Amino acid sequence: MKFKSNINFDKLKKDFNKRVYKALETSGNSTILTLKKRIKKGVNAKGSQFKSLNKTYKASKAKRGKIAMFELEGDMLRAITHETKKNNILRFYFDDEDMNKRAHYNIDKHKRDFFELSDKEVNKIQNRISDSLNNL
Amino acid sequence: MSLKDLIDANQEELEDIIAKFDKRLDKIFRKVNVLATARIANISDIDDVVKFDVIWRGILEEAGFYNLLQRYVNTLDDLQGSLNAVLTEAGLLETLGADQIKRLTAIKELQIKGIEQIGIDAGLTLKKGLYNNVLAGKTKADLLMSMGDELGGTKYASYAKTYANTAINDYRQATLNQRAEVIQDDDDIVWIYDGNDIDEVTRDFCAEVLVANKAYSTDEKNELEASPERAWNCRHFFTFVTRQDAIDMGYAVD
Repeated sequence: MKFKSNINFDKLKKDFNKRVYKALETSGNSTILTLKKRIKKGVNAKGSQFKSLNKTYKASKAKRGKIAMFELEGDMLRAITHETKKNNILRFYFDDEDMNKRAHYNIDKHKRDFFELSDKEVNKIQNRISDSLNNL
Repeated sequence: MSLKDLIDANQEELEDIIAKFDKRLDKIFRKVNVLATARIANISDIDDVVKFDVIWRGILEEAGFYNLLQRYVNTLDDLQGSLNAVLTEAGLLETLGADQIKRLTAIKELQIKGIEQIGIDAGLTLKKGLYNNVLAGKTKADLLMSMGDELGGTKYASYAKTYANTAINDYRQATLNQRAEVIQDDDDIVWIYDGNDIDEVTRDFCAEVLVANKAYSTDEKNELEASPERAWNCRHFFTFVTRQDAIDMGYAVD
């Protein structure tokens, strides 16, 4: 008995890749938006406030009408980006080395663990990728 | 009227021309920046480096840089013509020796070369900055320092930060646009205006877009992105998400 397939595997592969790409890219962007909103409120992934800025710096920011955490010129937050790597890995990083150092200074020295995702946020990304393959 | 008065009067007129030239050059460089960022974002290998100068000259041409220089030269020619006319009228032209006429012509040539050089230096610096940023992943601080050094001594030095900020932000936007290209015909994709919260230096245009809190189609986004009101030193950019993401984050979706 001959098995004849009418499945277009090339098209299927292309659709698959496109859907995963879309899921990863849009998840990356929306996660960054959510992350930045959270960072500006000074809250970490667990929902706790991270260490406040020192009073002098806070006052000088306030003079310029700046309330949001980590936003003076806004360079560091604007530098947050993501890339999709092989094996569908989504990596979040800073696209400017100096901003990366600034972020590490806050995380390592001041223990402001702002650059983390909650389990809920990670699950949302994973579900998005699974859902994107429904009805393929 | 003495020859000195005539030349002083002529100098005032010349300064006015230079001021207008600078104003127009600023506009042209905004255009150069937009064009350059879009095109340089596509450069990915060493072969493109060879083609770079051709691309760059095309950008300058399209932005109107060479037209402006030609207009400047023409204006100086006219100015010299009018100076000659005034001198003739005053019966002074014949009193100028060949050396003095040569000197006036040399001054004119120097003015043209000087102005041309400022424009070229600024363009070259911008080109280098963008180019290094794209190819070598330079940091903003590196870019600023290099631009400051290159432009030192010219009025463009004070614009270095603006050039750098604009170049980086435009490059980020060009990268996002490219990433969205594969899926931009997907109706599920919408664009959100992201960046600094509203503060005392936020432009009215950006504040209005931020306050509207809307998700935009690609066409709407392209129109807003190209608005001249946000062309220079803008601290915002458009990022793409799904419709559902936009709704979940509280944006108004049509």
